[in-house]
Order: sequence, then structure tokens, then C-alpha cells
Amino acid sequence: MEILKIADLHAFIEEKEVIKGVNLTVNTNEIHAIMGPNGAGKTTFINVIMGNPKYKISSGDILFKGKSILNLSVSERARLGIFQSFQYPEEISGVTFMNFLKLAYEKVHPEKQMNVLEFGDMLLKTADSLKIDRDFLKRYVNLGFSGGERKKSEILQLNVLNPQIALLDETDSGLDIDALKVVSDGINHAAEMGMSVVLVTHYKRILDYVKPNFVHIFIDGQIIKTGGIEIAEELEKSGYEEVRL
Amino acid sequence: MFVRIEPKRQGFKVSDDYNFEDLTENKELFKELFLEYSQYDFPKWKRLEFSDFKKIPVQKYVGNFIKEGNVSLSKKALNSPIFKEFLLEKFKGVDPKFTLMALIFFNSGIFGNIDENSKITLKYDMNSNQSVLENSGLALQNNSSGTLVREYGSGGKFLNSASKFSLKHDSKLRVFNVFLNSRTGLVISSNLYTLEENAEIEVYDVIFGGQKTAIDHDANLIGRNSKATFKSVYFGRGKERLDLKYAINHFGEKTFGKIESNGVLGDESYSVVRGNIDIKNTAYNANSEEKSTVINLSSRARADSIPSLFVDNNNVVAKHGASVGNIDENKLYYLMSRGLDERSAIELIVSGIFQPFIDEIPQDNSELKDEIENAISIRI
Amino acid sequence: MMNNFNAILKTEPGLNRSIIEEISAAKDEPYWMRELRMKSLEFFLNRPNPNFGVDISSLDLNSIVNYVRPSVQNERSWEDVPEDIRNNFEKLGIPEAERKALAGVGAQYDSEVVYHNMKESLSKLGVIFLEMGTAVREYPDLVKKYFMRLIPPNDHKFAALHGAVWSGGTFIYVPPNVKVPMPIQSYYLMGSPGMGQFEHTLIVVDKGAKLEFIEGCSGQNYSVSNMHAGAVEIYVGEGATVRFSTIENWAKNTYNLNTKRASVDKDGTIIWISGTMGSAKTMLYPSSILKGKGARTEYTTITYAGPGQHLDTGTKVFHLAPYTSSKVDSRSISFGGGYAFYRGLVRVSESAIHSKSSVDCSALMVDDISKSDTLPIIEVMNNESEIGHEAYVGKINEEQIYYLMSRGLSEDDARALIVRGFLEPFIKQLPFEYAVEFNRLIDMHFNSKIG
Repeated sequence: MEILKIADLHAFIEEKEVIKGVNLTVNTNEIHAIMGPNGAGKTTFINVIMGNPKYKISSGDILFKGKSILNLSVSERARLGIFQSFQYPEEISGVTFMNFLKLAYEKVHPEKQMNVLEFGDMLLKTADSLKIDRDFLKRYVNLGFSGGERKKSEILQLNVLNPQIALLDETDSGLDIDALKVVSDGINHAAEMGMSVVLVTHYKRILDYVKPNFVHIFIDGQIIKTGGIEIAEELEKSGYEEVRL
Repeated sequence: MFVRIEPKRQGFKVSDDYNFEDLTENKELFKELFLEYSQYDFPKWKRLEFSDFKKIPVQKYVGNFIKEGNVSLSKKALNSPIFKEFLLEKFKGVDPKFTLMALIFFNSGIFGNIDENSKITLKYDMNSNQSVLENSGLALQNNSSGTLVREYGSGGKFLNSASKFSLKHDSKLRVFNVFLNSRTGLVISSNLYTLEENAEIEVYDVIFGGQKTAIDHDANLIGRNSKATFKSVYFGRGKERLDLKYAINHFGEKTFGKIESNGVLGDESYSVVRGNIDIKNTAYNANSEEKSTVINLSSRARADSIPSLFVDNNNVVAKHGASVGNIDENKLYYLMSRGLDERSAIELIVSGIFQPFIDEIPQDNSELKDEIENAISIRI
Repeated sequence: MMNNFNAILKTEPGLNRSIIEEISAAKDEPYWMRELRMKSLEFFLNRPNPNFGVDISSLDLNSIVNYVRPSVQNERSWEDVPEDIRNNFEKLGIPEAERKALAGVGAQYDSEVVYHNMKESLSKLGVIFLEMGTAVREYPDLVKKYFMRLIPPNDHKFAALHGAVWSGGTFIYVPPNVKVPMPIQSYYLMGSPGMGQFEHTLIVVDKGAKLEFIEGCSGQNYSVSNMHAGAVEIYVGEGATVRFSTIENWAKNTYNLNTKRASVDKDGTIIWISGTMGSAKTMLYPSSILKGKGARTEYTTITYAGPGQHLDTGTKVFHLAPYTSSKVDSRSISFGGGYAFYRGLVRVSESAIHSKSSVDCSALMVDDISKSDTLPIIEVMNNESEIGHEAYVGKINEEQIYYLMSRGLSEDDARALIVRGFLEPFIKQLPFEYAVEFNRLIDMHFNSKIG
């Protein structure tokens, strides 16, 4: 089933065109890796799908399960089941992870209400299954987190909120091998539950743990090449310049 | 030495001031203070738009404001010569007129002599008392520690509090002042802290109203290694005006000061936050910083920030920062990307500002914690 | 050696109506200007001293000579300026700088401008550059429209004094879209003991035009007090840019109570580069009134307070329109018992939505007999602006000294180098000859020989 469809999407920030005609279709349970050099517009692409108001769409469409979501706010998109992970998630001081996630869960899954105890229980189980320290839940959202902790924070949220599609931004960067395993397990775990994934990455490393169905090469606001894992391997050998040719 | 010229105090006269006849007992004791009191006119405050004062008779306090703690009523402590001297000692506070007023005409307040670990909780009921004038004093003996929780409930017309804290060496005091005075017309609170070697004071102010509020905390770090931390959160709404002053005066070596204020403003409210760091020539290796942040939720609200650093010694680190702005858009986007609508995202961020304060309040004051949470949700 | 035997007219010390009449008559002024002086005198006599800042109680205004006319005026050739006065300006490098890199120069000695010249190419473009008194006579309507409108005589006591006894100074008008290619410079020298200098600078830069102006000030040191109460009014038109650089290096017997203000129209820019190192006591707060949408101001200022100096300086920005922005980098050094005070104001009015302001002030205290205070006031009256402020007071980092000394520098050299580094953002904005002079001053104060 088609979850997300991007059709000839063009987007601007201020006067500058940053997404220059992208097409992409993601079906249920598919994992798509988007690879490209720094500054290619990969993070921007994710922000545009999620509806970050900084970017203006000039033409094209974004369809979620066949319906355009261009007029929906970022919270409405989240409630449909779209999840964005951030490279540098904001720090929200004074708000514990627990309270924040409970509130978000109530908004995203109004049909499955749980009381504080049930929710806490579910949260602990999720944290344990991802081998994330329980102490996490008592801390203020992302406040003073290390690089690895930030990624874990995002993956924990992903698993709790259980979206239909996850847009993951450089979730692997700066992680040591153990943390990378925790994060990949988290992604795989969510994928096994039926989630689709768009995984933006600069390096092939994470693709050894999270197996993509498709790999797209993203350069200068465009997808210039699409294929299977072999593209990533080719890239590893010859770099982006070769691929561009 | 050079003289720094500063604006003079502006005053106004009222026809009906408190007078000597208002004192019912211990008259002789207050004669000298009263003489000084009567020489002052009332202070005119431009930013607070305060230029008029109507005398509200001070009645005997109805009820019991001491909820826990081994302390005596100030009235009774006056019988002891040492305690008397401490309680009658004058200081500047918000303004000498108001401070003297509270020292003389008080109808409430405590005196505590702390020599081991103690906890004191005071709850002033301002529904049953139209005016609360407090004269309090706490003396912490060597190596002692204490916690003081003061709640000033809503209602009433006039709150005027003057408190002095003396911290002997190696003593430690935490003070929580919770002002839930949204309907109170005028709220004044003056506090003076004097610290000996290694003494430590932490003050937390949580402020919701009154209509006009002036609060002053002044710490004199006399002893080497003494330490003062002032933290405040406030939430203004309606036409509330508040003027907060936190001053840390470094006299001793290696003294440490920290001032942090976080405010949220709605409607047509107006806040003034003054942080004064004064590092005297004797305060080698002092370290002091101040920071003020205001989140302005309304286009008609106004926030003034007046931080000052007075530095007389080059062997110090002193810094301050201030910012005023709307809620951070990136934080909003982040929370909304998790499914929260804009309103709940704002609520979450705002309550996050108060949470660390609520966390600091001792566990057994859970009722107070609830009241604060209540006050926040009403204001949002 | 500066001296005053060139003076041909000197008023009695102090101030009264007949002294004002004498000054006005000597200048052959129109009636309205004489009236403005008289009204200012009234204000001056009735106003109290400022209720903040430096202590001026030891300044005896009745002993100050308010007007000293040198023997020549408005010469167009340095040859015609008496040798001793010319030598003073030669030492300051003014004639040389004029030949090399300036579009016009005015040089004031005591109360009047002795030399005044502008490149012909500029007058062809319609640029007016005149000694202020001459402008009053030659362009009365233009001057009247702007003169003391931004700094009204009743603004404060010393604005009133200035209005009553002002003399000399500079008038510049730049027509629409004219970009003046080289800076114009005016230099003010005080040569006589016990006098006051009150030059008036009025700069009007029309739509889309551009001007860079440099102001230099110094004086001879005497045992009696001198005073300076100048006024600078700058009108920046729509889309225009003015860069105003100033070095105030008054003698150490001088009370410098100076007022500078700029009003900026839509999309205009005022840039202040301001250095205060001279005088015994200074009160000076260049102000920017951002009244047009998108108007901008930038400040790079330093205050350099040494032995016997109390310098109370700062910046004031009034955001009165949407999308206005201000950026302040203010630094101070205090050493040898000097006292530097930064006093700032940023006011963001209700209508100034989407405005931005960032203020950075830092103070370096070189020794523990000096003093540094910071008092920045921020007033924000709307919720759609971004306002930030940071300040830091600290000492020279001993590890930096150690590092530099480990590379062979003497301790004095290391200190001078660090002070220079601290002032770098300011110094690099200065015209070359001022930058050199400034570094020389630092070397002298810190017994350094870096050169």
C-alpha cells in the first residue's frame, strides 16, 4: 500500500530554491535510504515533508495515503503518523521525557488512552527493549544530552509514538558501534511492526544494520539516481563525484 | 576616588499615614524607628506606576500562619533583648519607608534561632487578613541548616514583608517564597541576608501577582567562600506590574553569586527585573553571574531588564546575559512534530519554566506544589 | 606647543545675556539664531545638573571662557594658517592625511575653524561642506530646518549650554544618491586654558546617499579645567548610509559632556565607530533613533580609562519602527585607577515589531585599583522582537600572559598585546593614522616596545 508519495516537489527558503523537483513513493514496510553529500538538501527535504513553516512549497505535492497534506500543520501531520527525527533535537528545560511523551502520545493516539501507570509501564518496557537507561525518562527533554543520548532519545520517541512512516535524519552520525546497534535495533524493531522508513544518511555504515529496499542518491536538491544496496556500495568505493557522472 | 552620581529618590506625601496611635502595645520600643519612619514620604516608582497609597488599617492577624517549625512569633521574641535587637534592626529593602513600616506596624512574622537542621513552613491567609505586615528574622548558628517555606495566599489588599537572615559560618539556608497574590493590590517584600564564612543561601521566588509587586533581596557576602543563589520565576497577566531586584554584594574572597530569573508575560503585564552584582575591592577571586529571560506571550506586555555589574577588583569573573523574546519557534516546531497543537506546546514550554522550582520545594509541601501548578494552568 | 596668543577676541568667563549677545554679534547671525541662544541660556540657568553619571561638582562653569576667537578663520590654504597653529595640526598628520585620503577637511582651533577645504569634485556633485557658522549665514533655510531639532536645547543642561554658546563645527549636506567617495574629516583642537569648546556638527545625508565622516578631538593639558560640550546631529535619509568615526582624545583636564544623536529613516544605516580615551571626565552616549521601517544601527565603541579618568559612556538605541535592527559591540579598558562605566539603553516600542537587537559589552580590568561598571537597560514593549544582551567583566588571562612570555615576550609586551587584541575590533575600523596612533598609546601606557 502506498504510504507517502512526493510528486515533482519544489521548495524555497527565502528566495532560494532548495528542493528542485523530487519524486519519491514509499509503500508500507519499505525502507528507503537517501544518501548524499553535506549541503545537498537532505535535511531540508525531510523538513519539507514534515511541514516546517520555514520552507515554502512552490509546486508539486506531498500525498499521505493518497491525500495531499500540503495544507496540514506539522502537528496534524504528526497525528497522521509521520515522524521526523532531528539531528539536533531542541532542549525543552523543565519538562521531563515522561510528561512530554505522555502528552504527545495522547495527541497522536487519542483512541488508545492509558493512565499514567499503564503509560509508564509501556515506556519502561520500550526503554528496556531498546537497552536505553530508565533514568532517561526522568530527565528533562534533551537537556544537556550527549550526541549519542540525543539519538537514543529520538529512537525512543519513535518507538513509543509508533508512526506509520519515520523520516530519520542522520540518525547514525557520531555514534559509536554500541550506540549504533541500539539505534539500528530501534529502527528495525519499529519497521517489523509495519512502519515505513526514509533514512537520510551520509555514510553507508548504518546500512549494514538497517537493510534498505531502495537507495536514492540526493544531490543539489534532487534525486539523481535510484537503485538497491549496490548503489551504496558503489558510492563507498568511488564517492559522490563518480555517481554524479 | 570617583563618585558615581545616581538619581535621587522621588517621593509623595499621603494625608493619612500610619501613626504612633496605630501601635497598641510595646509603644516605647518603636519610638526611635517611628521617628525615622515619619520623616520619610512614600517612594514614587515610575516603572511600577506607583504614586498613591491608601492606608489600610493593620488588624490583629486572624488565624495561625505557622504551619511547622520551632519558632516564636516576632511579637513574643521582642521580650528577649538579643532577639529584639535583631528584629528592630533597620535596612533599606525595597524602600526605607516600607521596610520601616513593616518593622514597626507588623501583625505577623516569626523569629527563629536555628542551631541544627530545621524546617519552617509559614502560610499567610490573606482572605481573612486584609493587610499582612510581616517582620521576620532567622538566625542560623554555626554549622546549622534550615529550610523556610513561605506562602502568601491570594486575597487581601496589602502585603508588606521585611525579613532579615543572619547566617553564621558554615550554615546553610534555603528559602522558598511563593506569592499567590493575584488579587492583592500591593505586594512588598524586602529581604536582607548577611553571610559569614562558608555560609550558603539559596532563595527561590515563585511569583503570581499582586497587582503591583515590588520585591527586593539583598545579600552581603562578608565571609570568605560564602555563596548566594537567587532564582525566580514569575507569570504576569492582566495589568499586573512587578519590579524585582536581586542584589549580591561581594565583600569576602572567593565569594560566589548567581542570579537567575525567568519570566512569562501575558496580556498587558509589565515586568522589571534588576540584577545587581557589586564586587568590592576586597573580594578577590569572586565569581558572579546573572541571567534573565523573558518569554513574552502578548504584544501588549512589556519587559524591562536592568542588570548591573559594579566591579572594583580585577581578580574576578562577572557576567550577565538577558534576553527577551517570544517562544522559540524551533522548540515549538519540535513539539508540534510530535503531534502537540500549538497551544499545548506553549503550555508545555511555559510549565517547563516553573517545573524546576516545583521540584526544589520539599516533598512534604505537596499541597503548595499543587497550588503552584494550579496557578500556572489558570494563567495559561 | 599650543598656546593662545593668537586669540583676538575672548569673552569674559561665565555666562550672561551680554556675553551671548557679544558672541552672536561677532558672528553676524540672523535673529532666529540669536533667539535660540537666548532661549537656551534660560534653559541652562534653570536646569539642574544630570542626576546620573560623573561628579561635576568641581567644575566651575563661571570660570570657563566660552568663546575664544583665533586670529584667522576659514583659510583655504594651510599656508595662510599661522605657523604655531599649523604646526599643531601638522603633528596630528591632518594636512598629510588630507592630501592622501580625504575628500575634505575642517580644522577648528579654540572656538573657530581656522582651515577649511573640500575637493572641487565634491562641490560639483552638490555636496555642501561648510564651517557651521558660515552655513547659518549662507543656507539659513536648510540649517533652520534641522539645527537643534534632534537635540533640542531643553534636552539636558549641557545641551542648553551648547545651544547658548555654540561656535564653529561642521555642516554637511549630501544630495540624494550621491556617494561621497572619500571620508570628510573635521578636527577640533582646544589650545587655550580654562576655555570651553562647543562646536556643532550637523550632517544631513539625503535619500540613497552615502557619507563617511571622521571626527578627531584633542587639546593641550592645563592645570585649570577646560570643558567640551559639543553636539552632533545626523539625519540619515531613506536608504542612506552614514559612517561616523570619532576619536575623543581630550586633554586630561577636560570635562567632556557631549551629545550625539542620529535619526534614521526607512532602510537607512548609521554606523558609529567611537573611541573615548581622553578627558578627566566624560559623559557621552551616542544615540540612534530608528524611526523608519528597516532602519539599522551598528556600534563599535571603546572606552579607555587610565589614571585620573572617570569615563561614563554608552549607547542608546530607540527602535520605533518595524524591522529595525541594532548591533552593539562595546568594550572598555580600565587601568591605573581609571573608572569605566558603560551605560546602555535599548528601547523597543510597541510598533517596532520584528526588530532585532544584540548588545555585547565586555570590560577588561588591567589591575585591581581600577574599576569597571556596566548598566545596560533593556525595555521591550512588544513580543515579536528578538532582543539579547551579554556582558562580561574580567581580567587579563594569566595563562595567555604565560603563553606569550613562553614565546619570548616581556610581560609588559604581553599585556600590551592582549589589550591590543581586545581592542582589535575597534582599531581595525579606524583610519590608518588613528590606528597607528592608538597602538602607540597602548604601548606607552603599558611600557611596551612592540611598536
